[in-house]
Amino acid sequence: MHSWLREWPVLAVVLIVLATTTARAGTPDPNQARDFLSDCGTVRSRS
Amino acid sequence: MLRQSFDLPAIGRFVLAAHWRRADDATRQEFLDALETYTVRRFLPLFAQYEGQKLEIGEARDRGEGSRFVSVESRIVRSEGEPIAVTWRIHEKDGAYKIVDVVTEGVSMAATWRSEYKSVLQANGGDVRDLADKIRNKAVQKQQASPTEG
Repeated sequence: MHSWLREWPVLAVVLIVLATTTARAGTPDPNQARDFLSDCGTVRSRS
Repeated sequence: MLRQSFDLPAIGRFVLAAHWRRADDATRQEFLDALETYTVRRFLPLFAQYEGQKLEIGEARDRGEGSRFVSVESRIVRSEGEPIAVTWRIHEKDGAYKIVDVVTEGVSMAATWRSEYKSVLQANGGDVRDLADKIRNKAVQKQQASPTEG
C-alpha cells in the first residue's frame, strides 16, 4: 500500500477539524450580539 | 458610536454587487462615505430616546451551526400607533460586533438598497459617484423625515 493511502484518514480528520474551527471562529454569540445592540444606546427590555 | 456599529464595507459590497468589484478604491470610499452619512441619519433616530418612543430589545438567536450572523429582535414602541418590529442582523468582524442588515416589518434594508441602487446604476450607466451624490442628497432630506420611514 502506498504511504499516502495509509495517511489520508489522518489528513481528512485534520481538514475537518480545521474547517469546523474556522466556521466557529466567525460565529457571533447571540447574547453578546444582544448586548452590543443594547450598548448602541437602546433601552434594554426583554419582550 | 452608531457610525462604528455598521459594517459599511460589507453592506457596500452587497448593495453594489458587480459595480463594487469594478469600482476603484476612491470611488468605493466615496460611496461608503455617502452610505455612512445616510445610514447614521436613517438609524440614529431609532436609537435616540424621544418622548413617546423607545426601542425595546428582544430575543437574539443564531441561524444554526456555522452561521456567520445573529438576528436580534426588537420593536419600536410609540405612544401612538402599533409597535414596529425591527430585526438586526449582526456579525463579528475583527473581534467586534457589527450590524450588516436591518429588517423593518419584514423588509430588508440591504436588499431594498441593492434593488434601488441597481435601478439607479442601470439608469446612469453604472456611475457610482453619481449614485453617491444621490444618496447624500437623500440623507439631507431624511434628516427631516420620520425615523420609521424607508
